[in-house]
Amino acid sequence: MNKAVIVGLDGVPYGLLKELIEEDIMPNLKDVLSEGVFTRMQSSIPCVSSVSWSSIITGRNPGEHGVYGFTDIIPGTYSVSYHSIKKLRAKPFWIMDHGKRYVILNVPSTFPAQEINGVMVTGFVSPDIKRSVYPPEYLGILEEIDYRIDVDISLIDKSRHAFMDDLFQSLANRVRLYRYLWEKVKWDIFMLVVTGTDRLGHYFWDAYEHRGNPFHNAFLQFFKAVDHLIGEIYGKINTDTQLIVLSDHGMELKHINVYLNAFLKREGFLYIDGDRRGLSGITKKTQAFALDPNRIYINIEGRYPRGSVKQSERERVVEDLITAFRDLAYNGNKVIREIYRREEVYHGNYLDHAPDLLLIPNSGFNLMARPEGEKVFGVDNLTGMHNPEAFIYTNQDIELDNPSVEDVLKIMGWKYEYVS
Amino acid sequence: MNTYHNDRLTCWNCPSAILRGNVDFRACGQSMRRFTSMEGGDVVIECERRPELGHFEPTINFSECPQWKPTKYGRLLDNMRVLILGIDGYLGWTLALKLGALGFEVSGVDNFLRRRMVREKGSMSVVPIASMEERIKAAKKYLDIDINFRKIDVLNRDKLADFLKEVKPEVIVHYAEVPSAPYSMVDADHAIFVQKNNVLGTLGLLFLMRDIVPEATLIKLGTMGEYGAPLTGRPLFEGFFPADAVLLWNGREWSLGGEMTPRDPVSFYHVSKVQDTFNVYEACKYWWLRSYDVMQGVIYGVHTDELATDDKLRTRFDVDEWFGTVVNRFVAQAILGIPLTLYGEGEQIRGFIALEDAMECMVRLISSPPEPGQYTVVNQVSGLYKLKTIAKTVAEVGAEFGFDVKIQRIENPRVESEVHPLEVVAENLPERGFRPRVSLEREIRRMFDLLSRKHIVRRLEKVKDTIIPRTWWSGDKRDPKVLGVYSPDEVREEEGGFRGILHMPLDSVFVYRWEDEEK
Ligand SMILES: NC(=O)c1ccc[n+]([C@@H]2O[C@H](COP(=O)([O-])OP(=O)(O)OC[C@H]3O[C@@H](n4cnc5c(N)ncnc54)[C@H](O)[C@@H]3O)[C@@H](O)[C@H]2O)c1
Repeated sequence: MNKAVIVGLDGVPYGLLKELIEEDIMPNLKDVLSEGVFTRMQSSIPCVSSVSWSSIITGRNPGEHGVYGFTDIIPGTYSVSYHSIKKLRAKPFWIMDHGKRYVILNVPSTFPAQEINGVMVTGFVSPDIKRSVYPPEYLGILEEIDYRIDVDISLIDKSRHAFMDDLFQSLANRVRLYRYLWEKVKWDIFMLVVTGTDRLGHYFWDAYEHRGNPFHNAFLQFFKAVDHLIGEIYGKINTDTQLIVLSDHGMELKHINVYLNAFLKREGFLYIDGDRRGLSGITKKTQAFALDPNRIYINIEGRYPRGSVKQSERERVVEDLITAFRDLAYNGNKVIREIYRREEVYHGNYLDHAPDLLLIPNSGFNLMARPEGEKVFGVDNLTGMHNPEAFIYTNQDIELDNPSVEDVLKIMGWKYEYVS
Repeated sequence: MNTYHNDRLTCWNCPSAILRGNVDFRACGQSMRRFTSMEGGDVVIECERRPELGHFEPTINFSECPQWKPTKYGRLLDNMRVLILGIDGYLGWTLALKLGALGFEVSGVDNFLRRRMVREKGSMSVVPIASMEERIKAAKKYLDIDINFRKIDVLNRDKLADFLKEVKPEVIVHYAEVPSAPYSMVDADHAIFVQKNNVLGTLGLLFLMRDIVPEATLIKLGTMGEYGAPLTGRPLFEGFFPADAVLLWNGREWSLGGEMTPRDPVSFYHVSKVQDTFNVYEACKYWWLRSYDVMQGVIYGVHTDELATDDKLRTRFDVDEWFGTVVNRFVAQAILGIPLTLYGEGEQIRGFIALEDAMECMVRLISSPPEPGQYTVVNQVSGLYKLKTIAKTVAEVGAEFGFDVKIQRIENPRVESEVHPLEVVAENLPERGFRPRVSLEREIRRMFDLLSRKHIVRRLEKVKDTIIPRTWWSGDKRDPKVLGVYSPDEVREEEGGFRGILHMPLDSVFVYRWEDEEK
């Protein structure tokens, strides 16, 4: 196969790129799109980066790769552990074919860095930079260019300006690293993900939608910078190199947060001992709890330390939950558009760990599962929220019919067996 | 549902948790700064003992963690690594055996300063103790305990740093200070030495902990004497005013809740402990260190099961005017036929606790590590007694052993109030499951039993001259005058002075809740 370059733009919806091209903010992307296909792509359920990128790099659905969110309950507890690639049950493409040489830069949920034929720098969440790089010799160059895995999100609470600066700085440093690796490493497949786009969307979507917003211009500038990067890469590749540009999920204006665990408490499904942190205060009366963003788990006896729902009662609890969520409304507007049971959306060997129910919200309702608090609805300083509308572009001359994140490897021509 | 007092503690409390940073899932992001704060998103940890868990939120309950195993003291961390500074001392050695027997990995540091200071007085431990080498061998032989000992002066930060790196302690029990008030009042050299040893030793240790073992708990020994004995009778809370305390002045009112209570130390030694208190408190604030600052009452006694296993395992026991504590000295005086020496009125009230109970307190604190940044003061007493009550009790128990014991009042070489109220709040230990088990009489009996053995009586005779206090707070060096000699039944504890009031929320036979009645 020829060389391939994959550029990921985290959290960028199809519609946004359309608009930015029309408004001449992304002239390089416009050039690129003059050949090949550019279309909507269906994100994963839930539409969060950890799940979606796991599907993209393995070509599988969560029931097969086992990743259902950023967090998982640690067996025997109600504490959550964060995603690590060790939990991925399917092979990412760079393990399927050892014959190729790879540069895998900043793909989310790949921490800790594993041995690879090439170079890997993991993406968020990477809690320890020393374990984010393979081979470890490359740590030095990261330090030299002051590479950051992610922006410093805590800045947003201090200053939106400082946060915006950090977004640009992080992107600049990432570009430096990609340039370095592009030149210094022999590769067949180069994958690079930009994560700043997601952070920008979360905190500045209002700025994008309102021209008068003081950060409107900065928002556009950021995409100009991304466009510049795309143009640079486009200029460097041969015509026979495969180019894929894609996102993992979309973004839209958020109206209000919906705190699922608060709702479950209000409806009498969830009881948390108040002075405990997180879900660790769940008591025996609990029938169900939620994990971010939209996953509902039944407190099954035997599965959790204070599990109390018997298998024989499970179906009744599921029905009760569905009824309760159907009725959940804000100012007369229904919050939940769709409720899926796990077997309706997932298939594979790892269904056991899957949430019992998945909630799909109507637009503008941002589902969150924080365990604290009693209020069901609330606001914070985020103005953008995820939606399932990702995009994909490929410079190949092929037909794409309603693709999803699980199809990316196929689109790239990878041949592999589905096991189930 | 909660069987153990520490079931509900979580990884936040556990020294095995390695803080890694913050994630902020409001925007599914992270901040990659070195961990410096508890704010800005969720804290992420890894577990040193369970690396297979990856990165996770520090909320696993001890009851859900297989590493925290049930014991009669609550759950204890499997093979927990404890470093005892001052391991050769009265308490250090006792604790080493106790923890060793419970399965802790015990390391210890001492520079044998205490042995030197007692020699300086011309005295010795009347219960014979062997060299550290022999002690360690005996611990291995009789109790199958391995102790990793290093002779280090705590003031030598380089050496201590190396040992900390080697041991990686999860809890540090810091006994390594000069424990004597009279010693600090001898002269300028002694006062300066005590403050340097105690204050700078602890200050240096705090810096080393910050850099090497920030997750470890520091259990720092202070004393009830830090508070003094306020003449107003204001209760002695555990270091801080409770939430509903107020200051009223000039028709205005302020909350005192959460502020440190006043300290009123009673010697330059006690001042060193107060200085430690501030240093430890600040370090917890600046660097998220965690500490229990233990305001320990006067310890008395000779017994724990481990110490009693063999004569070679005994801990030191001093009776001289510098290093003997009051109950211990009284028993020695009783055996030697010296009338028990009450200073002045003998109406002084102090908090006391038997050696065995004090050790249980330490295990309870170790089983309940504070959270990062948490600085908690613990009042460690099991009873408040007037000194004349103590004297009377020693005399009475002495009579059971055939000793005819007299009590004498002598001039008070110290500067202290001899008649004062005392009200003490001690809630933190009972909350951690501590219940005093050893009554005053019971431990005094054990002391007579051990100290009246022939070989010990011979040693007592040898150090007889060191017992009467000659170190005056004024600087004088002279024998105090005798003000009166009494038989035990002439001493009535109900007559005169105040009664101590102890608030200890538990129902235990040895807990005294005296009426607050003045006589
Ligand atoms: N025994 C009591 O009644 C009592 C009451 C309240 C508080 N305390 C406190 O408890 C702690 C232990 O008391 P103890 O009775 O076991 O005293 P101790 O003197 O028997 O024990 C202290 C040990 O620390 C060692 N030490 C002192 N300075 C050192 C240094 N710089 N480097 C290394 N080792 C050093 C000594 O050699 C000694 O072995 C002291 O801090 C004391 O102030 C004791």
